[in-house]
This record gives sequence, C-alpha cells and structure tokens, in this order.
Amino acid sequence: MNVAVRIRQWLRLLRTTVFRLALAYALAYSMLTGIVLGGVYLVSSHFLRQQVDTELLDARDVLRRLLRDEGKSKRDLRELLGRPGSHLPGARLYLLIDKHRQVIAGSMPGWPKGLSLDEGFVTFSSVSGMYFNQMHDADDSLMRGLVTHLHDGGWLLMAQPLGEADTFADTILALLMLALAVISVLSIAGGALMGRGVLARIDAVRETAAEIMAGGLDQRIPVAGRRDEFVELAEHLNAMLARIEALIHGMRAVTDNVAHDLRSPLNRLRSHLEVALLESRSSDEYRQVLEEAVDELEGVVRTFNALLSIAQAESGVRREHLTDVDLTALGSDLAELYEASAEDAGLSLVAELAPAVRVRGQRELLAQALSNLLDNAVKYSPAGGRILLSLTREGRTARLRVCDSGPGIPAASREQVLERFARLDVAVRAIKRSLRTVVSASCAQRFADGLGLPTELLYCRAQ
Amino acid sequence: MMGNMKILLVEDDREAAAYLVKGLTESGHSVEHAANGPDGLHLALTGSYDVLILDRLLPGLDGLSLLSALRAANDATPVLFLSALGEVDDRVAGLRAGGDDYLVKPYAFSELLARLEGLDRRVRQETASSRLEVADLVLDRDRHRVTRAGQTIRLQPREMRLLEYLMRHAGKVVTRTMLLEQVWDYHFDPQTNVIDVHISRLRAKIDRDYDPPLLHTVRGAGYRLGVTEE
Repeated sequence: MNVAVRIRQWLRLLRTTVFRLALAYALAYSMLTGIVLGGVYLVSSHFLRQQVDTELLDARDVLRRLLRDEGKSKRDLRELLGRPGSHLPGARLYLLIDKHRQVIAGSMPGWPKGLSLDEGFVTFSSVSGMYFNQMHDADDSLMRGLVTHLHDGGWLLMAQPLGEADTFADTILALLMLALAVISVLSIAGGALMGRGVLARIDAVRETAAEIMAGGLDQRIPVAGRRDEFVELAEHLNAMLARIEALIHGMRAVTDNVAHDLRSPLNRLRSHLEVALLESRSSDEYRQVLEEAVDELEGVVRTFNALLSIAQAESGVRREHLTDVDLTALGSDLAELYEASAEDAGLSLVAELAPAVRVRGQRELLAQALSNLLDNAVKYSPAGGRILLSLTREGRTARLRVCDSGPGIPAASREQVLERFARLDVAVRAIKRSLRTVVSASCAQRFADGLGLPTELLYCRAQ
Repeated sequence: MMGNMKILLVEDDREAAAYLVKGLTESGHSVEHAANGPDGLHLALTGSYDVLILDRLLPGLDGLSLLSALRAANDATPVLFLSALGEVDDRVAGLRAGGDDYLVKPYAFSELLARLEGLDRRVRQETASSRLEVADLVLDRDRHRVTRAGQTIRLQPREMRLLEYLMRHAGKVVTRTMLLEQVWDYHFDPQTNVIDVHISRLRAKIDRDYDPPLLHTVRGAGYRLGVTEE
C-alpha cells in the first residue's frame, strides 16, 4: 500500500462523524477538567493563604509575649533571633526597626521598598531577593507579611514566602496538562478506533452497493453481530433491495411478455400482408386483407394498452393525482352499464352498495378495474348464473367485490395470477382472460390493503 | 351529413400528417397542415377553421401552449388533441387547458373522424334547443318525453340521455368511447360490448315497431342516427 493511499485512508478516518464526535467530547471534557482543577486551585490557594496568615498572627503573639510579659528588650530579641538558624515560630523572615527606621535585627536586609508602615497584612514581591538572606533560593516569589507597630515606636515585619501556594498551583497545572493529554490521547485513539469500526461497516454497505450497481441484484448487505442501529439499517436497506429486485424482475417479465404478447399478433399481421402481396389479387380481396389487418392491429393496440395499464398501475398512482371518488356512485354507474350485457348473457347482475362510501383514488382507473372484473364475470359465468357487485365498508376499508358463479380461478393458480402476466394453464381463451384479470388485480393492489380473493376483490381505503 | 369542415392540422410527424390530410380530404373536408407550433399558431390566428387538430408535442411551441395562446386571443375554435401521452392526467391536462377532445395514439381513423364531426362548431351551436327531431322521432327535453310517429315511447333516464346525444349528432357517426364519455361520463376502454347492448335496447324501443329504421350500426366505427343508412 503506497503512502498516498494510506494518507487518504487516514484523512477519511478524520472525516468520520465518530471521530469528530470524539474530538468534540475531548474538547468538552478538557474544558470541564480545566474548570474543576481551576476551582480546586482557587479554593486551596485561598485556604493556604489563610493558614499563612494564622501562622503569622501566632508568631506576633509569641513576640508580644516575649517583649511585654517577659520584659525582654529589643536587644534581647535581636540576640534571640540573631542566632543562626533561629526563627520565630510561624515566620520564616522577620525585620525589626526602630522609630527612626534603623534596622535593629532581622533576616531581611531592609524594609521593602514601597511597603507602608500601616499595621496589618501585606503582600509584596521579593524582587531580586534583595531582602532575603542566603537561606532562601531567591526568585521573584510572593511574600505574605504582617506589619506590627511596637509600643516603643518601632515596627516589626514578619513574613513568609507564598512559595507553597505556587508549588501547589504548579502541581495543579501539571495535573491539568496530564489530564488533557490523557483525555486527548484516549479520545483520538478511541475516535479513530470507533471510526474504523464504523467505516468498516459502511464499507460493507458500499461494497454491496457497488456489487449491485455492477449487476449483482441479489447481493445483500451482511447483517451480523449484535442488533444495533447498523443492523437495523442494513435490514431496512435489504428489504428495500428485495423490493427493488422484485420490481426489476417484474419489469423483465413485462418486457418478456410484451415481446410475447405483441410479437405473435404482429407476426401474424406481417405474414398476412406479405402473403397477400405474393400474387396480384382483386381489389375486393385486397380490401378484405386490409380489413383483417386493421382488426388484427386493433387487437395489438388493445393488448398494448392493457400492458401499459398494468405498468401504470404497478408503478403506483401519484398522490397528487388522487381525488375524492364516490365509490357508491361508481358502483351503481357500472352496475347499470353492465346490467344489460349480463341480462343478454342470461345472467342476473345484482348490486348491493353501501351508501355514501368515498375514497381517495383515480376515478378512471377504479372504473377501468371494476369494468374489467365485471367484463370477466359476464363473459365467463355460465348462463343462468348470478353476478353480485357489492360495496361494503369495513372499518377504514371499502371493499368493492365482484362475485360470480363462474368457474373462477383454480385456487392453486391464484398466487400466480397475481404475479404479473402469469397465465392460467388452461386454454388460449383463458390466457386472454388472465391477462385482463391481472390488470384488475394489479389496479386493485394499487388501491388496496391487500388481496384476499385475487380476481374478485377490490379494496380501497375509505375516508 | 354536414361534411366539408375546414380543418387545421398541426402535427410534426410528416408521414402521419400526410395520411391524415389524405384521409380527411377523402372524407370531404379541406385540411391545412402546419408542421410546428409557431406556424400552427400563426395559421390558427389568421385563418378561420371549423376545428383544430393539435399534437401535444410539437417543435417550437407545444400543443398546450399553442392552445393557451389561441384562447388568450379569444379564439374559441374547437380543438382536438392528438397525443402519444395516454395517461389519465395527460388527458385531463389537455381538456383543462381548453381542449375540447383528446385522442390517444394509436387511434382508429373512424374514431378521429367521428370526434371531429362532433366538435364541428356549426353542430355545437344547435345544442341548446330542448326539442330534437329526427324524422318522426321527437325528443322533448323539458317534458322528458319521446315520441315516434306520435306514439309515446317509455325510456329509462340513461336511454333518454343516450338518445339525446345521438339525436344531437344526428347524421354523424358516434363511437362507443364517445358514448361512454358523454353519456356515462367515464373514460376507459370497455373490453366487451357493453355499449352495444344498450344501443340494441334503445333500438328495440325506437325502431322495432317503426319504419324506416333510424339507429344504424356503422361497421368498425360506431353508430349513426338518421333516416338513411348511407
């Protein structure tokens, strides 16, 4: 695998939703961690400062006791504090000056510049360590000090470096960095890992799609492993593919059948005309041939229209072309239309129509479908029989049914009849019949919830 | 038979147009032909025709647009659409645009001829009258009464409408699909002889006991109501 391909794969990985999500989460977690650690830092540095203050106060109390209660002089104090290594408890540094601001004793070289002589806590910087003795690694750390006005006019400054708090902040910062690093590494690695997983599954879909595009209509997306949203999606896509495959097979069947149903009559027509041209004939003979040819052509056109109707019905009715159709009126119109034909054929046509049943549909297609059913019933019922056209309303379903006392379609063939162009294996007459029946069934199916008895039922969704 | 209509045919398929011109001319009509939309519109606007035959798909200007332009110019010449677009919606679109009739290719020439004669505006002007007469057959719409030779004939409501349509088109061929469209208000292709049966019932009522027969079957085309069989 060359480098370009590898880079492209990585770029693809970076573009995955999972990876981006992981990054977004990493960012969010980092911010959260920063906030938490920052809070910890603020709270604890405040606490530390308070502790320093308390220690400084304690130290002042000790000094006061020494000076006042035990009668020690400043000189004693200087001696006491001047000894190497000694210091006041709680105060690392101190400075004692008299009222003329002369240094009496202390571990600082002089009164810090700019520091006022007011009593109370002060915070000052130990710039360049000018007032530190050597015991401190001098950098520009902050000092916390307590200024005390002595009763004889001098001042005492006690101080502690706030270095501990700084160290603490450093630790917190280090922790924060570590946390961010861990989170980033984990989320990038996790995102990449998950992204790869998702990509692998999407690649499976893509490969299937490619195979289908290359003509492998029977290919399906592999569905394996635990049931998750990918499996669900794959199952839905597979169902869709199955439907499309069925439709395409149907279309192929149409092509085959168009070829079959149109070729034969066209061939007859052609031979008929060619034979007529073989010898010279009287004009009467020519006229007869032409008339027969026109009749034959009429049949071809009719078959062609039937095929188109099937295709149209199969492809479904576009929603925007549906209108309100009064099924009751339609049923009664067609019953009236066919009553005379039925009577002539020695049949009685009875219409039992529920009142005011309206559906959304295409009136002409519904009329065509119902007319086909009635045509069949009139044609194939033996004389003396009975045809019942009924319209009932069952819940949200309107059921338009044509029952006849004809031979019907053998139960075993019903499924096939619903298949496009399936023919009953009976006789040529039956072939035409089944073709037309399928037109009906096909139309019916379009408007239908489903078909119970294939040729005799027409369901519609009632309003 | 009134015959001799002045027809404008706008059709881009030259061969089909040639056949139509020939057929219509031999049927006694005079035909002018335009092979594209703009020419067709120009002829329609400048000439005076009894009926127009428009193809739906034309170069330059399609049939629907041509018709809209024509109607916008207050030209009410009846229009028959010819189209290879056969779906219900296409037909509805054609009629909604102001077309008066719609025939889907392939059609039978006899069907086209019958529909053209039905569209002839000279025929249509008479349709308002409520009393129709063909020979001794009289239909009085206001009184819902039909008589022949002075004798009252009882007709079902649908038979009445069927007869009325035939009488309004007396002397002209009306086809089965025209009857299904105009009398039953359905547009589909009945596979069997449903219309024939209704005609034969009507014939039994108006013709059986009288002379001469008025309701004739025209082979390969449809029916004609009139005194002569032609």
